[in-house]
Amino acid sequence: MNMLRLYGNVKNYQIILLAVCLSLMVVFASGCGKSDAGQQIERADIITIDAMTVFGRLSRPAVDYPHDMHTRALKERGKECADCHLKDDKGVMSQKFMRLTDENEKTTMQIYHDNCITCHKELRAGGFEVGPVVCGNCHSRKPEYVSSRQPMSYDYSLHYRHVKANNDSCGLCHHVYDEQKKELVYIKGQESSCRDCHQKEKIENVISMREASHQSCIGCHIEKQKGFQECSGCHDAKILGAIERVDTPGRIERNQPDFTLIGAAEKDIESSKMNSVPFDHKAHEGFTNSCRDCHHETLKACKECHTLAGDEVGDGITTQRAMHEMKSGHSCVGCHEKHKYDPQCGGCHSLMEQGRLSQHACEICHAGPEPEKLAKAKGKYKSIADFKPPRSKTKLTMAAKDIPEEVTIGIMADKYEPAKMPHRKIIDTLMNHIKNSRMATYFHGHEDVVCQGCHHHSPIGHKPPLCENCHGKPFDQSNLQIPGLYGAYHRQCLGCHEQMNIKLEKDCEGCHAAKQS
Amino acid sequence: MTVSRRRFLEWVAAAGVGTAAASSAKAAHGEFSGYPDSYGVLFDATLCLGCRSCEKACNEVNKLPAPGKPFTDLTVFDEKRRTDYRTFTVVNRYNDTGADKPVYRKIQCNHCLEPACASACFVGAFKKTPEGAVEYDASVCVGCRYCIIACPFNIPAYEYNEALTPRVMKCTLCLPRLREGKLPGCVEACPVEALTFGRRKDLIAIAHEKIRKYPGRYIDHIYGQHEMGGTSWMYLSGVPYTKIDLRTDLGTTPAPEFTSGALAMVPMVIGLWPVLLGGIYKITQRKEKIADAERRQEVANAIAATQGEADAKARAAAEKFQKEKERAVDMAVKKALADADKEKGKEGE
Amino acid sequence: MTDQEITMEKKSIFTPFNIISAIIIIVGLVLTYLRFTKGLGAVTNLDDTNPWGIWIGFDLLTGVALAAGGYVTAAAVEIFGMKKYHSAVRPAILTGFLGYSLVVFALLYDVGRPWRLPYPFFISQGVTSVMFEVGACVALYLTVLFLEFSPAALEWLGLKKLRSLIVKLTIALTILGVVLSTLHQSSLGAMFLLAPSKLHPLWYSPYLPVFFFVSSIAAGLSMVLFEGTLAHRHFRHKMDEAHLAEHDNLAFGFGKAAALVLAGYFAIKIFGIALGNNWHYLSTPYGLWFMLEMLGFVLLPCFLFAIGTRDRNARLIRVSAFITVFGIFLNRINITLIAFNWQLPWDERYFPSWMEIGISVFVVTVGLLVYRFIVTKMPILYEHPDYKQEH
Repeated sequence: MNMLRLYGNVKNYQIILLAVCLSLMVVFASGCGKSDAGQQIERADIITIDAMTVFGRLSRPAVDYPHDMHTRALKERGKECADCHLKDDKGVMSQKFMRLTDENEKTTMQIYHDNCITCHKELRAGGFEVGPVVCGNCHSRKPEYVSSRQPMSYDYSLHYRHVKANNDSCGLCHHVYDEQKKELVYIKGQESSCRDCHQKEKIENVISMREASHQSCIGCHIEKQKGFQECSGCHDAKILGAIERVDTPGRIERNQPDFTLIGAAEKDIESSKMNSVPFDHKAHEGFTNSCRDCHHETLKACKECHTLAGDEVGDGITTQRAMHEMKSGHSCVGCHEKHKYDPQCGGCHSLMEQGRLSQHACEICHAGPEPEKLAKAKGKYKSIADFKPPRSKTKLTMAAKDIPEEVTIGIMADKYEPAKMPHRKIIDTLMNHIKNSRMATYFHGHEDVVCQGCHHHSPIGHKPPLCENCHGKPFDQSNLQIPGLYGAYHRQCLGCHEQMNIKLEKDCEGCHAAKQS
Repeated sequence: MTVSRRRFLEWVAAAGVGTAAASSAKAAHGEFSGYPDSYGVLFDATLCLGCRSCEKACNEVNKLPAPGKPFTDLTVFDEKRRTDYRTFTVVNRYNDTGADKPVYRKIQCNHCLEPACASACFVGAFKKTPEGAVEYDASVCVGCRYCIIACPFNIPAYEYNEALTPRVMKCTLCLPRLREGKLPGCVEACPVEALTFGRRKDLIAIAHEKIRKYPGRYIDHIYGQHEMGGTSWMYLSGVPYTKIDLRTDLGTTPAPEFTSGALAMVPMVIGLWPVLLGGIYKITQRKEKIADAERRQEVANAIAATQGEADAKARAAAEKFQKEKERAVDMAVKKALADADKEKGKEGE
Repeated sequence: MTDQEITMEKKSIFTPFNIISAIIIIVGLVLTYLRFTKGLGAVTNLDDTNPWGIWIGFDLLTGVALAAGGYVTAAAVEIFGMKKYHSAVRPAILTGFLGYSLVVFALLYDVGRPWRLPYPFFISQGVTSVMFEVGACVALYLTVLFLEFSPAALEWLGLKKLRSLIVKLTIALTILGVVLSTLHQSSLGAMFLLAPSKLHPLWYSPYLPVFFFVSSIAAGLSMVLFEGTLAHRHFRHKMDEAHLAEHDNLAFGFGKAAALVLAGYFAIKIFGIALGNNWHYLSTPYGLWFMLEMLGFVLLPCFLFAIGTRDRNARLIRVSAFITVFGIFLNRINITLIAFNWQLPWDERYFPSWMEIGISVFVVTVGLLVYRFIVTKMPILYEHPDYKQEH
């Protein structure tokens, strides 16, 4: 066909119109939506600049700002923190950018635009690779970076390192507010966690934790030129994990008891019926990472906020819930529950129904004197050793003669030989784990308890029922919860091996040899 | 109004086809939550060891050909497999699930409550049986493979290498064994009872019970309870379902509902299109008729006009002729009289 | 071409076309033998994840869409009374009839047990299936097309009485043809409604049946023009005065219609994207492919048709018709093969084997040969002298 003639009949403006329409469609479509392939880079130093929210709704998306990137770049050009973070008349560095207060919408916005864009433009003219100068590239709907900031917290180890580095001068960080003098003072014996007063948001004249920690920590780091000054130093997961640890940090002396009896307050004695709980505070300090693991709001005793009947101060959580809440790491039972699934313990415990306390569990802990006798008992007991739990600690398991050495399971032998189970060896292994754990020792303090790991849902005693007494044909429609014998054996044995990371040597033949025929 | 025989027959035909399509459309729009006592299987991904005993049992029970690698060969897990013409079920291993050990998942027909394959099949080769299994009837299958297109789980396979008797191959839930009171082969073979067999409603209760008892162990969602309108084969997992190749974007609409709307339009088209088209035809005809009549009128008018003109012309000519004739006669008479007078005058002298 | 040249050509049957088609036929027969002795697996690249290939995508879906010229032309002439296109009806019906026959012919290869094709009608009816409806409508429509075509054959055979009897049924057959065509053209699209998880969101829409139906109208109009162009080049000697005179007018008329239909089709496709809020897919690679199909093979021919009609440029219209025909092919292939299973990695996707392509080419060649036979022997492109007065 004659192409010239083809175009000859089509007017020029029509072709242009067509081309314009087509290009508009392409532009519209590509700008309109997000590309499916678009990786966002994770950074720990992303600060979302939404300072304008104090003035009302944002008209543009907030800007995700990589702070460390800028710190480094500016450092190379001889700039330092104080160049952006102005100091007030008290010498305290403001965490706002280039200003001490937010005056009004216009000036605040101008501060950012004037400083950021100008600098970017200058550097770009100089040929450097810098950030955006166009509105939409900072105020982006799909920002290049996404924050992977981890919250920072202190544990005993880090606290100890700071204490040693500053020659035990607690007053450097710890303070309380003196109402009379209207200033912050240090009072020995009243040190506590920063977060006891400094909350997520600023409340009246108590600054937020974010502001307080940056002022205090970073301020000191800058002054002493020691410790991290970059965001990632405290907020990047990898760097956090690599912080040097002290294995045995010294005990923080804060007049805490070595041993106490946990019971109701004086005023609640009438309503309290449970025996008190002997509690080895010193030992538990060794099982936690910081005081806040238990004293999550203040260093006061739990019952001060979590009263017997529940109080507004304690968010309505009763003493019972505070101590027994399964899902909380702050409660006694909750923390103990977590440890049940460690590899040494999980073999038995992961197969048991989670989140349930048995009936006898109460007396294991509530082994102290009754509430009425509590006042008198206070001075009597000095340590857990003074106090004998009703259960014998020594007899953790039955006598060896009562534990069969080997059990032959041949009831279903078909394609394989009967399985020869090294019964006593298994018990011995479990007992080793238990003996190495104070908690396990205490809670397993009865010779039949360990047997229940496998001989479950049956009476405790020297002659537990056989597996086949309860586990029969699979999928009994009236009770689908109980697996059949075949499934029960394999689930129990293999499940335990799985949890405790005990690898079987030869798969199936590791337990039962194949039948030769 | 009289109805012609043809018209009446058309109505009956339309009604008949319409009813057939509409009743099927209605059934698809209604809700079906499974036959009351149908069976199902619950697969617990946290228990599966990846031992492949289920694959072996399935192969034996269904007398399928031997596979490429024996069932004891665990290197098959190095790649992702799917069901094929001689494998009704496979187990795949998933390493990057976020769990600290690999997770295994068994793949087989999910025996949906409202199966896409049954909806797709134009010879009705698939049936959802009261026992819960989706049964395939090879004796009517034409081999169009629309069922394979339809299945959202990519399960049915085809015997492409059979020249004359190719069949669709998929898990049967061991329906013949179920009818004998036996368990499905894979269920019976699993050493840890990762597969629980029972009534579907009981399995859902069991699954909820497991989630309640071991909250840290399971994702709080039973896969297959509602997906694609519900399946008889359901899954429990400790890791997100997308990590073990179970799509979570399939929705809860049963497959037949996707096409029931389109099918419901069929009687509408059959009923209305003839009316519409017949109407247009009639209008066209009428327009032609009117145009025809107008044309004829035009022609007639033109003829009449020409005729009138011709008549007038003729009359005028006739008149003119008449006048001329009269004048000629007059003139002749006058001349004759003048001549006569002249003659008379001559004689008088 | 003079009669002398025709006679001379008739003498030698070893024309390039004949030789090539002979080779294709032989290869096709061999492949047919392989297909039915070794099964689908030996001849195709189909697998369990991709059960439908080009036999469905091209032979079936594209074939049915392009054969739509039959009902469109017949409707235009008989129902809408556009008598001036009368000479285009028979060729269009022939294309339609042959097209559908080839569809059924190709189906015999694709389906696992083709001898069971009557089963859905007589043995076990799967009425929940859209494909059941497609099958029923195609079977009935093939009958309708056969009846609509038969007068030409009967004229050739000289069976006057039978011929005039069938001609009396024309309007009823035409209406029935439109009804059946609406149903099966849209249902071919409705078949894919069942696989929303497998078809790319830019092509999948609850409106699929409407898309397929509307595009079939454009396909039919374009195919009639395309076929007319080819016939004009190769069978000009068979055409009578009326046919030759109307050749360009047909282009103008159908071109105008096609411009409108394609514009409407483009608009409803946009609405379809809006309904699913799928705009963001347009900036992906699949999105670009979709826009190529829409802009290059729907919007562009729409404009070209319009310009050609306005400027009375029949050549431009014919070019546009060819683009449209290819666009329909592209659309059907996209839905069955390219946008289908789009989430799978490329190594799990399907590409036809040379044998599948061979069979498709074989089917088309058979069609061309039958077309040539009919057009040269029977009064398609001309009016039979005995029946001239009846038109």
